[in-house]
Amino acid sequence: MKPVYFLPAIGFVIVVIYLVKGLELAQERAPSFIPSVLINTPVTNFNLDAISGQQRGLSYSDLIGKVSIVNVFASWCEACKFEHKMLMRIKTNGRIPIYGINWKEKDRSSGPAWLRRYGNPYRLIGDDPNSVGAIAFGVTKAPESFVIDRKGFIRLKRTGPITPEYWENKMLPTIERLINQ
Amino acid sequence: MLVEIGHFALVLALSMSFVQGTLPIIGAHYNKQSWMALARPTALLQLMLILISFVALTIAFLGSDFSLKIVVNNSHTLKPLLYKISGVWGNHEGSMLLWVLILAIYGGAIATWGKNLRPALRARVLSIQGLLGFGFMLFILFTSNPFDRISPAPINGQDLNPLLQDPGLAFHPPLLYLGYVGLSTTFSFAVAALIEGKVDPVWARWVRPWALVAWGFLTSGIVLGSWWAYYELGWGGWWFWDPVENASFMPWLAATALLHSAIVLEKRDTLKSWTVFLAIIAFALSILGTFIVRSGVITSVHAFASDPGRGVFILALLVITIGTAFVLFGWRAPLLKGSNLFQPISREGGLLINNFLLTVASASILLGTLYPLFIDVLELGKISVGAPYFNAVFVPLMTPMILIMGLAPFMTWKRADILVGMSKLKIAGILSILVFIGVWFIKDKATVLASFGIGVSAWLFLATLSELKNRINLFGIPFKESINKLLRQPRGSWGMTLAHSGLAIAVAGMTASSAWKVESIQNMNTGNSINVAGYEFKLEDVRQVRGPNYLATRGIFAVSKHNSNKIIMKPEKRIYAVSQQPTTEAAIEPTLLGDLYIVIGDKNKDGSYITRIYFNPLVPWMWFGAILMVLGSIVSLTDRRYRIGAPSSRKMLRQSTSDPVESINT
Amino acid sequence: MVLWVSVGVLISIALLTVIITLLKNISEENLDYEEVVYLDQLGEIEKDLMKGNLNLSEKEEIYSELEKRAKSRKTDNSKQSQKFNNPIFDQSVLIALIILLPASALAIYGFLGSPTMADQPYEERALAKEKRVNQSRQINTNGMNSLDQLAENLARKMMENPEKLEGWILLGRTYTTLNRWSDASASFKKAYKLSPTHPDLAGSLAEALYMADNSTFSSYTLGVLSKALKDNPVDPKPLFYWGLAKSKRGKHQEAFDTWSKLKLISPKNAIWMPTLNQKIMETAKILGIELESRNSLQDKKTTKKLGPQDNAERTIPGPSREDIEAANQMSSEERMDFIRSMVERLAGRLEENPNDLNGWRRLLRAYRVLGEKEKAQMVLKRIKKLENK
Repeated sequence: MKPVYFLPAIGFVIVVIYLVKGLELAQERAPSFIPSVLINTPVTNFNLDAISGQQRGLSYSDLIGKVSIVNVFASWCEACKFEHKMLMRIKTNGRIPIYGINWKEKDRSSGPAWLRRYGNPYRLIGDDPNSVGAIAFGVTKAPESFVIDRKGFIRLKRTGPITPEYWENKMLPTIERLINQ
Repeated sequence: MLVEIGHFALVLALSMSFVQGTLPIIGAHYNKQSWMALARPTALLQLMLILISFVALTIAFLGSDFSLKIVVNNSHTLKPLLYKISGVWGNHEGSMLLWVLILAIYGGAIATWGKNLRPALRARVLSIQGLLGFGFMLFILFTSNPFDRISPAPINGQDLNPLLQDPGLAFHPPLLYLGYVGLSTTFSFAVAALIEGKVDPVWARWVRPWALVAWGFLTSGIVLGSWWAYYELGWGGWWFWDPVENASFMPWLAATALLHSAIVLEKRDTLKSWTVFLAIIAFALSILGTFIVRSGVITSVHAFASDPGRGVFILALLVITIGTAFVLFGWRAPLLKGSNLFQPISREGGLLINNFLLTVASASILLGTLYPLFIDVLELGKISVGAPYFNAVFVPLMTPMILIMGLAPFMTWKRADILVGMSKLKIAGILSILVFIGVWFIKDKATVLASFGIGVSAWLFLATLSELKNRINLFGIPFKESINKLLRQPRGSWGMTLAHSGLAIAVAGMTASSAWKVESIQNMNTGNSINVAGYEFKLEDVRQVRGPNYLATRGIFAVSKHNSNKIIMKPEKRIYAVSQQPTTEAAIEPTLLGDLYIVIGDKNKDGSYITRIYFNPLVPWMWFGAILMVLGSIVSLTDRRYRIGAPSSRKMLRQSTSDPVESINT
Repeated sequence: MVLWVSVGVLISIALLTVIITLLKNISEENLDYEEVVYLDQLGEIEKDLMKGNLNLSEKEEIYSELEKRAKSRKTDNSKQSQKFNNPIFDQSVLIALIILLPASALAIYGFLGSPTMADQPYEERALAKEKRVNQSRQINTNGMNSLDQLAENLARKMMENPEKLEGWILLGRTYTTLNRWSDASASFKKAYKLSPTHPDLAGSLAEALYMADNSTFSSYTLGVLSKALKDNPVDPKPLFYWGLAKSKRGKHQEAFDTWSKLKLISPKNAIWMPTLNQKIMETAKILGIELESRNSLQDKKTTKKLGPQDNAERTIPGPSREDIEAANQMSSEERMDFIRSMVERLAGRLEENPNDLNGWRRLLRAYRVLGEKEKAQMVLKRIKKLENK
């Protein structure tokens, strides 16, 4: 009996332990749909309808030609409320347009109601009940934000709320670099 | 009634697979002839039953029988015939049925062509195949039964995902499965050998063709998938290091290693436990790929609708089959001792190093693919590993491998003089360095790395050609004799020459298309034109056209270079009638030096269209190289000889002008 | 059936293969498979030597290599175990296979499969649907269609279960749809006997009887009708057929009264209105009665299928242009009379339906136009009473 020959079996056991754990996690958050990193790839074509009460929706062509932020939000998302103040600050700052994707609202009116209550930081908003836009950006959960360059490439992705620190240290520098390019 | 006959045939196949999986292997253990003899007829019967089942399902798809759940979910009466057929395997349940069908085809093939196998080995191999089939059929029947019915039947179906309605993708899964499942044969041979405690060159001789078949199919499957991604996804890329792609690439690397180590085993009766290990790991990675794609553990853009419930079952299958095999390996592999030793510098040595590099590459891809999972499980956050990691790991591993690939065929078995080999490659070496420097100077925007990549591919190509030249002793003997020698070369050697030069050409394509891609995104009105990579693209017209089950916006581009002849290119953006899902159909015009690639996007408010125009250098080389590689495997497969490698004594090495007789990749 | 035959065939093929293989007496083969391979390899070496791909010294090396391998291989001489070479054991395994192989397959299939479900390819379903549509269109075709079949099945069921009122009515209606009048009348008769007062039954029976007797009324039919009208004087179908019966006997006045009554109680868009209007007009012509303005006749647009299927009287001419022109050409005195008769009829109707507020208002306006102040006052009082309600 030479232990070295059991190394593959041991390695296999370790991998399997992780797979089992991973499966448990996957079961917890099913149905999730997390595409591979789309960073530095162009946004795939999408076209979203307007949410009720708004004239225009959001489509791929809106993102071309300027550096912008795309933010995924939903009225059911607690962290979005937290992030919302930061978005309003970015809006008043006025350097960069924020586009919203209103993701998976159970009720079509709850998104607009949420905006009326807290204020609307978005230039344009697309309604995304079927995750068409979410898939185009590879959204895993809300809130999630993307910095898009002039050519429509995703250059930065933030999962979770944009905190002031993150804005100062990461997002703003990226945006300035893209604008000055 | 056909549907239900198919369903019953599958159930009966399950029962038969149990018989196939138990009696012959027990019979082999107790040397009971009649039980061992069961292996072949049951394997053939198995094939017949699963074929009936598969045909029944296909007919249900062709006739749009919406009393079947799977047809409702994946088909529609409006769908063109080809995609009604491909709809059979364009979904989880049907693709699993295809999986076991191919498993049964390989079982039937071993039963038919394995007449000269030792009866005990044959019985064991077929029994293990039977057990694999048993496990997968249990999985199919009880968790993803394609024959589930709906009553009353809906009026029409929900259509196949439009992204999957593409001729490239229609044949991608069957090819890929022929590759994946083909590795089950080598796995069965490996486990059977472990049970017997006996691995010898004769065993390798029997294993090699199966490895070769699986490798050929896997190569074509991967290339077809990559080609599909290239023109259907409209990103102009052909490889994304996506988990699903990795899932097919890892077994390919392992199979490549297996192929070569089986050659060493056959010819030199050594590297025994290593070869067995590779056979197990290659199939393990195949099943792991199936698990990754279907369980939702690691999600990916082109994953099947994932379902953790199914994941549990596949994981169980993975643990039982591969776990057993690895334990068996730990227990029995020490018994497998090679009869021949070899020096580090020898052909065996070169092959072993490359084997090692391939395995490490495969392991690092596995690590990169599973790393997000590890991090997630350890609650360190959620990350994804992207192309930068894979490129950073993969390229440094593959570069020395390709360099050795050029050199190894010049080394003799057992022990070699590296200087002798080098001296024969002087010209090839100098030429490829010139290519490297030349590209660096001539091509603007050329990075050292990209130029080096081209140089490496030139090295492999030239070295492979030099090897052929040496083998036929070109310029050493009269030309006519050389030609005679060329014609007399064993087909196995031709296989190597084709596959290695194919890889060289493909590497050039990959390097160039990654490094020097030109892309341009803009708004265009009809009548506008734009210059990209020296070509003038003029948008002449945009039309609305109606396809069999979609509406499309079709751009008509006239493309010309220096006012030469115009080429008309027609990219489309399609909306599928049933699912309302848009897809892009890129227009691609291959030229010798690269692909012209146009994607048309949405209409803007001002009536202009977003267009994306790419020049993808040397992409056609990639496809051509891949075709050569597959061709190499086919040619090599037709070589039915039993071979043995001739070691050279030191004395001979110095004196002989003739070169090593046998090539490595035969 | 086809399914079970196929299942049987598949099982037999499987069993036969297994049984034949197990029973075949396989002589222990003494062929050494590995030796074959080694011999083959030696042959290849000779060939290569001839072709010039090998030289002599290499050949020697290979030979010694081969020799080494052939010597080193272990000879596998394991004998067949005694325990497993016992015929009784073999037979019991065989019998177990013969039982368990089909049993397990059938059990699993029984659990998972739907053996009673037929294939339903789209084309066939589409064809079947089309056929059904065609059949309902050409309802008079004699061929056995699905509705016929339905009726037959139902009839068979009713034979076993003749006490079911609803069943007989359903069967009668089915036969009615199929225009199988005598069958329909027989079914309705059965139902009628079970429950003579069941709503709508007497009318359907009478209709079926009338049609079955070639558009004549037997005394039995008339009995059914008169009894029905005694029970419910405003039952539309019996009323219609009662009128028809009267008209057939030449009692046009009675027919006219019956039908007029029916018209009063019918909703405006009732499906029998077109036929009824036409009947009334014909009878009025015979009687020489002037009809109200054409507005009160049923609007042609709302006409649908005729209720009773009296083939000869299917088309419904509206009020003819001559009638209207005649009204226009009346002298003013005549016209006043015409209007008065209209107003009287409205008044009569309102007596029967005194809660129609709008009707009263119309009447009030009419009286004012006609200058009948007293009558107008009375109507006004009634309107106020209604409004206070």
